[in-house]
Amino acid sequence: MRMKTASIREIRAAISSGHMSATEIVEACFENIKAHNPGLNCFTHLSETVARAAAQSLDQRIAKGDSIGPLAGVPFAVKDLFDVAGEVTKAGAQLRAAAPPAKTDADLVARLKAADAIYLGRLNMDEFAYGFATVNANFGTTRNPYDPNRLAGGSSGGSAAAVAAGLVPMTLGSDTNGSVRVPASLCGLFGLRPTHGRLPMQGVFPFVEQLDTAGPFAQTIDDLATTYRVLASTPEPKRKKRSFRVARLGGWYRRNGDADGNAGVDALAAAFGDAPLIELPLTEAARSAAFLVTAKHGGLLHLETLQSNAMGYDPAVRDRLIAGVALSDDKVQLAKSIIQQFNRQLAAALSKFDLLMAPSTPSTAPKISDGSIEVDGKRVSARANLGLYTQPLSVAGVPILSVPLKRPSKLPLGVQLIARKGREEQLFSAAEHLSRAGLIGFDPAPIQVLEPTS
Amino acid sequence: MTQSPKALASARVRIADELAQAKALQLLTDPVIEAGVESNLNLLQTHYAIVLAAHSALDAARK
Repeated sequence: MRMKTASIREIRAAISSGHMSATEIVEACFENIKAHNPGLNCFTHLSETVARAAAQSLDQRIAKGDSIGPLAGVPFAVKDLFDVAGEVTKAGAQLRAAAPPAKTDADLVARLKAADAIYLGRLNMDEFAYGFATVNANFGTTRNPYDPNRLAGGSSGGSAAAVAAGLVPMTLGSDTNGSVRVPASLCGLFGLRPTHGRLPMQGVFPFVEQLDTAGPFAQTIDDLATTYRVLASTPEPKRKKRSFRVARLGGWYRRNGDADGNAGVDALAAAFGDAPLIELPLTEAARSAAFLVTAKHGGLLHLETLQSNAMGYDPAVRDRLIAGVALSDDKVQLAKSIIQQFNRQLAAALSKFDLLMAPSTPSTAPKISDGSIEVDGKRVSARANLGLYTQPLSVAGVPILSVPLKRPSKLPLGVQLIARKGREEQLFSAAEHLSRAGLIGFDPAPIQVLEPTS
Repeated sequence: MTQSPKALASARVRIADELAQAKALQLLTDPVIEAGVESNLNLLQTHYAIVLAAHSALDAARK
């Protein structure tokens, strides 16, 4: 089930003109969620009372003629690692079920609410964000709305599936090694990993702080950019960049994965004129380095809880975290040295080009029953390898936008647009150009009725 | 994925030290967990081998 939602601009216009009330929008969303979430398993908690109160309050302000925010009446939901006042942040883990409720909203949730967006609930994820699949031993597997027999990707799979199904127009996820970009690619959405450190992470349950970023999902680039500007407290620029020096990433990105991904990169790059193929020689090593640093720092974050309650974890996550804790420090130091050198290679490339392009994932969404993908002709674990193309770039801290290729009647697949730090607006401008050219965009088909997940 | 013969050889490095470290930290108290951790340590060793090979290649290039 994939439905086009009303855009943020449409919702705001409907609200401000009195064509629809916020209450009507929220009720319609909950009705839709209750009809379709049992088959998708993207929401793990609905905050109906809070949402209805916020909608009613907004309606009263509009009736009085008060000014309204840029996201007035726009429903949103968050990955289950964002604090929302009065709710337990489980981070996809049953062992956090007894944790105290958050006292305040995460900064990013507060910014969305201050813009008059209406919070609806919490979304499924891999436990503690450690995975690319959203296969969760506690809360179940999130299904891909395009084909319910396939993975939605992870770890922000609930956030992607909810938008792709049309249950909400916008959600928040997080991206440490690709957890926004991978599900955005598999679900056919726009998903942004902003510059590391650009958005406040207060009230976001951490995984690997030197890599963690929060990022939004949306069906259109306009909705994504509007949301990002609210999250970053930055206005829309008056002048937008119109021409770009573009390069395609080769080497690692041409050796592995589905040929369709690189064909898509070539088609998008051609829209900007001549776009040479360049190689960052340390890409494979950077991916491995990210693997090691993530394991070690992720493991250390959980050390105390692992010592006291190892059996409380999802077994797949527990064993990875313990292995990470045990990894010797000298190996992690060598990994960090490689990351520094890879970052210099990437910075050199971004000094010559405004945009780099690479596939977002090595394959389309794999079947849930299979759990593997084909890489270089071999079957490998999807959970560990769907981040093959996102993971190396994560270590550089640069902004990366995954955009959905227009692929009528084919499974969704995304392309990463990569820019220098702080250049999110360049990514949006480039994506607007590609959208207007009809090369990228959300495809709402097909509509399927899903049976409830077990 | 590409891995040099040297990297593959390095991937066979023993992981006994890491398992001992996990035991010392009182993280391995169950044989089921130990098997899962060993499997993940093997994967991390493979990635370390790739990092090591890249580092060696960079060193060689500087000389």
